[in-house]
Amino acid sequence: MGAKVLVVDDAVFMRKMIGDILKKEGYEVVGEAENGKEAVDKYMELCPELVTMDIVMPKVGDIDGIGAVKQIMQKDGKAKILMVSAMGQHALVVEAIQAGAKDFVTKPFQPSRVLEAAKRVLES
Amino acid sequence: MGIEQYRSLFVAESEEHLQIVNNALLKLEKAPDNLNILNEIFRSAHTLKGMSATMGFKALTKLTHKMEDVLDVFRAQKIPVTTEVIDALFRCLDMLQMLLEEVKTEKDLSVDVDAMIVQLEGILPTISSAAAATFADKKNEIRLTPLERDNLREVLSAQDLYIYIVDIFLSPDCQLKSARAFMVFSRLGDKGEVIKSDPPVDELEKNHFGCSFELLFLTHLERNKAEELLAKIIEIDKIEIRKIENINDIPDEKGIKVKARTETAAAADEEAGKRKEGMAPQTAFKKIQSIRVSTKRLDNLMNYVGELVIAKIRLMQIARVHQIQSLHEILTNIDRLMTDLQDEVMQVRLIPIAQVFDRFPRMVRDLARSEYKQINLELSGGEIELDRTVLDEIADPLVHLLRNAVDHGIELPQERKSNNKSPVGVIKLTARREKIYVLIEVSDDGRGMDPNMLRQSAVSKGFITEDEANKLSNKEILELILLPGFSSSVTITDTSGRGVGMDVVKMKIEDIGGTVSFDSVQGKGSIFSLKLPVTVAIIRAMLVKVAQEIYAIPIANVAETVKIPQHKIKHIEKSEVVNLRNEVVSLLRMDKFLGALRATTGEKKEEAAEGKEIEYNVVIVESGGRKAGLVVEDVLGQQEVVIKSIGALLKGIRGFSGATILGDGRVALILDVAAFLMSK
Repeated sequence: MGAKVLVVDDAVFMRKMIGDILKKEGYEVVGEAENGKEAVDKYMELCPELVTMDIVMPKVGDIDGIGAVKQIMQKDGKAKILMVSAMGQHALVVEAIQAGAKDFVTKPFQPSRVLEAAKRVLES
Repeated sequence: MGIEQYRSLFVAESEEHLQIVNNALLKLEKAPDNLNILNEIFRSAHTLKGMSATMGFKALTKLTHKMEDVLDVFRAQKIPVTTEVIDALFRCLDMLQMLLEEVKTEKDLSVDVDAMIVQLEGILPTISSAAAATFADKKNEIRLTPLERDNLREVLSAQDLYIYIVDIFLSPDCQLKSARAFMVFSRLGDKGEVIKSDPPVDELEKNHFGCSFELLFLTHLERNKAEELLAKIIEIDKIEIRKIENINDIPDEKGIKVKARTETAAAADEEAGKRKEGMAPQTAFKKIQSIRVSTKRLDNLMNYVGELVIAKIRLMQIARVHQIQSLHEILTNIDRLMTDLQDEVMQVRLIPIAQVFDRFPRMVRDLARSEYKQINLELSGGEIELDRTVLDEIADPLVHLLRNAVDHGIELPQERKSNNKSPVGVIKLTARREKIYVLIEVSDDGRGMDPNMLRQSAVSKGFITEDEANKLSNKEILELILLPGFSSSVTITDTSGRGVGMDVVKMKIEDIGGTVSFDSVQGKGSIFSLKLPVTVAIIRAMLVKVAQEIYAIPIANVAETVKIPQHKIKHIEKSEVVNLRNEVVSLLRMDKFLGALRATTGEKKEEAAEGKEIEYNVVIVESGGRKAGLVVEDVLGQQEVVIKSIGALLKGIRGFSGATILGDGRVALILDVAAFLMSK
């Protein structure tokens, strides 16, 4: 049984793509969220072992991607979050990592990269 | 503080950087694959860009940015630069200079930066413009400054830590390399301290690196534990960790491993030992070693010192007249202090000749290229220092001499070859100190001057008759080029016919108390020597009295003072001469010459009537190889005088280079011996 994953992205297309990549490798996508607030709620509800988090998402309830990372890390210091970022978002990535995210992958991504990142983050 | 206040600082610093780029480009032309030179240019362009951007000068920023881009391609890919690239960079430099001029004068010189940028893009080798691709990998190597090394040593002696050199190789397709690098830093930072990196952090942040970087990591972790920290990060292809047992194995700034601890390092170590602060190698505070002062301030300072010298002399005179012992004592002290102060101020005003010399390699290069000549300009003595007033004055004469050497001295390569010379001509520009003078020589190994050609030309231009021409020795013929209007009329070509003749060179140099001499051997080359005083503001002078007035003669021009009895004065044609140790020296009666025929002649007649033979006080002066005896009423002695300009109104009067104020407050004119001898 693969690890439980929560996929967070505001675009359905991206959620589906990441979910498919992970499912193929045997991960169990236990939930999806389309904004930061929902991500925090779902994390508490589902207790996933891994979260993939889109870095740029509309703010809902004053929480964006990084805000979600911060809240999740506050609630669970052991949370394993993998950031998903577009190119040129250096500053945001740095901020997310400072907030506690374990790693990041850059869009457009290769499936293998996502899988490798997921594996390493889970091992860490 | 407004940005305006930084303008002058900005200009000054930018000029320095442009000079650096200029010199480096010249060097690069000779060594097109030297990465260090390329790096030097890159750094200057980078600094310029940063400064211009801060000041909000858009065109400068844009151009330097593009320069940086282009240089970076060559730098990163280790591609040797071509002559076209150098030429383009030189044009770029010229444009930067113009832009800087715009900043200075606040005038719009309508510089077309965009055209230059297109040109720059044109010289880029065929590579994709994607920034990522332009940063190919180079060998990273962490280097330590002495301070960092000492700090490191101190920390190690206090705690049980390991030093690792960590090399990180990212996957070539890694997208956000800078963020990836940040992750590495952040992971390591949790368990230790990243002391330094190559490329430096700011370069890493800007994505200015290939796929690899090197870190200096300080930690208590064992090697395999340290490696584990990084193993969990994706997009890293390879990690190499080396443990450093001896700090001296890390190379210094020049890339050399410290073999033995030098004395200075030991001393610095001791000092480091005194500081009980934690380590902060990157924030190490550097003491300010020098400050910038505007030249105007220095001129003022010099002026005040000059006034002080005058006041001192007056005080000394008062003390002497009134015989006040206690005043004498303190004055001796003041005198000594004044001398020290004067020396110090003089020192401050001295500037290395290199500041003038440095612009010549480019000039000679461009000239040579435009005339299809191959010329090597050899500079030496750039470290010799001169007063900045002198330095300002010699730039133009030197330009003229160098132009002459390129235009008329050095032959075309094929001509040189057929004369069994190396096709590459050599022009040497040297400076050296000789007592109170600085000697600057411009020599070339070109064709030299042809006395016969000069002879013919002098006759045809009507300077001398054919008879005279035939009587003159070759050496004397050469001297003709110093005549006003002569050199420009003989030697004009398309490039050097700028209307400045050798006579102007001579005049300029003599204006500042220097002399010009030269020699030339046909077929072998020419040499011009400029003998210059180190400073001009305060000089020693001989004071003489002529018709109740006091005049100062610069001591540099005084050969000797003699008393000459009436009967020794002979007449040649209409002028008076005297035989001085078998040398005929013409005499000049200063009172007549200065138009002050007063009581003097009468007095002498009276003395003569009493049967005493008249003895004349004669000051033998010389300048540019010419000698003359100045008959004066009295010789008052030597003293230092502060040269004051006579002012624009009296500028036209030849024969005086300035005025000075004497101890008793009287004004004395300073004789310009060179002009004096010429007008005679």
